[in-house]
Amino acid sequence: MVLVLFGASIILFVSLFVLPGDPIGTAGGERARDPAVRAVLEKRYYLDRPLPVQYVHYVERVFRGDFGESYRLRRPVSSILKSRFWATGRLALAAIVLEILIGVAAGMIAAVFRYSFWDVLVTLTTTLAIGVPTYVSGSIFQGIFAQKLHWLPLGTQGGGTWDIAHLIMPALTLASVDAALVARLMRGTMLESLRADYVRTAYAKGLSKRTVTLKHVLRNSIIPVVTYVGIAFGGLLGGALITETIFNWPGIGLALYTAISTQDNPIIIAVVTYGVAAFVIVNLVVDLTYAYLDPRIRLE
Amino acid sequence: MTDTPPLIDEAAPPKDAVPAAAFGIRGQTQFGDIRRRFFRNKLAVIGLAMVAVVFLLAILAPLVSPHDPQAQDLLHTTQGPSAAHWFGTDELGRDQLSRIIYGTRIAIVVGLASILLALLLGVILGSIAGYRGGKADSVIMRTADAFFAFPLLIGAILIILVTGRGVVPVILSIGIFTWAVPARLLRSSILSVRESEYVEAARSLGASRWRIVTRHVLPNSLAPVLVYGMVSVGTAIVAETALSFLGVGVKPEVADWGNMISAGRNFFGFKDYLWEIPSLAVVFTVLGFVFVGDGLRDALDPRLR
Amino acid sequence: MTAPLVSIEDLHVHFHTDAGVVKAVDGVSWSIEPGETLGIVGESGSGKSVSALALMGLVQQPPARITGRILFRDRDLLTASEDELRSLRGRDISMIFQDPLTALNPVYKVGHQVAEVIQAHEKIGRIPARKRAVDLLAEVGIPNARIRADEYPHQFSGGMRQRAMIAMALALDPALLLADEPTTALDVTVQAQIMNLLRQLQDSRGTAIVLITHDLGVVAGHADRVIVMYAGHVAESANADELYHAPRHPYTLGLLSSIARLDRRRTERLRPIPGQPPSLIRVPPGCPFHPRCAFATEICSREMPPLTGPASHLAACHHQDRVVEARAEAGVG
Repeated sequence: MVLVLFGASIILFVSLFVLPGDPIGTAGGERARDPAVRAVLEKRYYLDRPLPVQYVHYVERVFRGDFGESYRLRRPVSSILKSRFWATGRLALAAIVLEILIGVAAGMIAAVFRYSFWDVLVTLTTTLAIGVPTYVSGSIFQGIFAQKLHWLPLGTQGGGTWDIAHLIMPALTLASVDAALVARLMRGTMLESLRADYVRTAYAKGLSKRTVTLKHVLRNSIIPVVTYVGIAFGGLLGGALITETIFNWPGIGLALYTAISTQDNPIIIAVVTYGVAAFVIVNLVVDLTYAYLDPRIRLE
Repeated sequence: MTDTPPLIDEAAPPKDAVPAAAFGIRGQTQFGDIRRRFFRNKLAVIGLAMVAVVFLLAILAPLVSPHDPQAQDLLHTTQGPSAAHWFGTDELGRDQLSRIIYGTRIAIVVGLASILLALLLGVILGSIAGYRGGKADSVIMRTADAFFAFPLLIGAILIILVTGRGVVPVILSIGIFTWAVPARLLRSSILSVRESEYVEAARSLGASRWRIVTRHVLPNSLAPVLVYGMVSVGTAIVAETALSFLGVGVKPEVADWGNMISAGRNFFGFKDYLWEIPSLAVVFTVLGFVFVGDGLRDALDPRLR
Repeated sequence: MTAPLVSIEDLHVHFHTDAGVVKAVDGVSWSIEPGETLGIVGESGSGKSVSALALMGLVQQPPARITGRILFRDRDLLTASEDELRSLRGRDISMIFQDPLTALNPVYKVGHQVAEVIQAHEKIGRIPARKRAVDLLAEVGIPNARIRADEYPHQFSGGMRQRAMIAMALALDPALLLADEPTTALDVTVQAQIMNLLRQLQDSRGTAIVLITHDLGVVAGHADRVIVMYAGHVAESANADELYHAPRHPYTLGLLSSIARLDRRRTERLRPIPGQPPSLIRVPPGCPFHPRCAFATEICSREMPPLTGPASHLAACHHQDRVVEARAEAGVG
């Protein structure tokens, strides 16, 4: 997995430095016209060395927590991003909680009451939710809840950690597609488990439908869902590019977007590397959790 | 009371019959069954119709559009829907309806091409990994993991930044960051099929390796990959429009739904039709593919309904 | 004469599916006495498992339609409420299934699953329930029961899993145990061990056992009476000895003559029964066996033969006399 991280960062690094555009120009502004200034700046940003050397230096500095300086803002990347991690983190947490609550509940209901009105409702809704991209659902939420009904604020986030009013729309937007996928997955695994032999055995022991469903079926069905949710969370931690852009949410996703538009490479590298790292770490945790949940895997 | 399936499944052949596949005969009745099940599924048929509409619009775009999608009319910008312009005009006076219609071309071309690329890469690499195993397998799978861990949007953005905007870069970048999943799917399919009895039977009958792969292993492993492909066209279209929305997709003047939504959001709150209509187009198209993909999956394995 | 423990009267279990009505069980009657071992023999699809599931109330009623009577200690289970049935399951009537690997829940420890059935029916704490579970596991021959009780099903061998299932089924000393193909998924040597275990436990507890299988050999040594089922009907019902030595139904005859036997002179070639069992959606009119029967005549395709004969040996055939004649030639009897 560490290999993955390195591999990904190499891909990143190489592609960024193949980018057209003039980072020195961005950093130096007008003064960059002067070759002397250029030389100084190049040296400062290590741009006068060959690529592999640059990479090595970069990794070195990363381990010391130094991600370099933003070309545009002239401040260390780490300080720029530090304040934004929590914003993205909050959003990711809220979205995951929503996904789990809505997805698991909906999936369970759909499976247990298969073919009933609820099942059809859930199936249709989830199918629809998958087809609606976040920039559409985000816009729609803004349109309805902020614009028309004035229930929720439209502007940037204010308030503190528990400011639900600002948090709810972006969180819902972010969660919508995944919640639908979770619901479908849950329904699928539960339907499979419901047909399993051990369910028949459980009934033959005289257990009630409720015990069988909650104790035997759920415990088996939840395993793939946990894996999926874990992976989704890893992805969310990397910053929700579109949602943060639409809602002007000051997280690392928005920082990335701005960095892309202004070719502020250090920020791009830092954010993406962090995103991949977060994903990889969360994946590891998910693997461990999976082993805990499924005894068949544990003893290998 | 628990659910007990009826004991006789008339679709299943008698247990002791040697599977026809062992003799290299693809069960032709299988296709008929699958097709029948697909068409009985209302949602799938609706999806097929939706996709067909989008296809037709894409092919017939020049014939069907009332105006040239690039024709600007600076005297009549951001006008609401009217007789002359059914969907109104955008900020440069271009006819929305025509741009929506031409937008189908981008959606279809990018959607299909990128997924085709991903499937091609995925199938080739996945089958090498699955069939050869060993070192090749590890290397390929590690690489797939790296690509898998890389968020699609961001990876695509990086490639676009290097190559510049345009249709081909978008296709390439989506394809490159999507191949990992079908590769993995195919590999696990192959791993399970490879050891199955009818492959052994074929081998014992002296079938050559190539024949085994093409006649037995591939057809049976491809099904989940195909279903994934169909559903993924929808995701690819979403990705493409998202890239354009963020300003790193196809060129800005091209009639593309993502571009239109992004531009339309500038008028959020007073000329909402500018982003609402292209949004509808996206949702319509994507849902069509999702319905078809779901229908395919249910037709191939009805038990999971 | 004591009343039978279970008496099934004219049971019909029909599944209504898209493709038609599957008549899994079509007019079946049998009974079993306390402490007796009844074997039910038949091919897949003969309806033997479905009858047992119907007895437990484990057949879901749509899509199935069940008519007839199932009397357990004179109580008709088909009219009982779900609550009543639930209190019977696991306590008075238990069932063990064919594949113990899938029949046990993979994510819970074995000891826990055994204790579960005890706790479902008795107000008893976790610790005492677990102790009883461990004792039961030891009783069915699982070594180091205390340690093994904390293991998971996939850590057990096939035979041990089935033993665990038996422990689970007999935990509360039920009057009746339904064993659905208990040995089919096991190796031959293990099969014998399991059957002996069942016999032992039956001797000590007086449980009645319904042994459902397609394997005539398994039934031979262990059943008091045997019922042969075909296509949802009872073909023949007799005590074990008579069935094996003096069958009166062509199907039974066919089954017996298609078995290789070491204890007989090899005069005859093995004769498999030609043809295939019918699809239960399109059961042939008249006697369901007639298309494959060597003794069939015109009446066999018209009229379903009733079960005739003395109460201790019934057969559903119009031509039992011809079967009797043919016995000697077939090397049976």
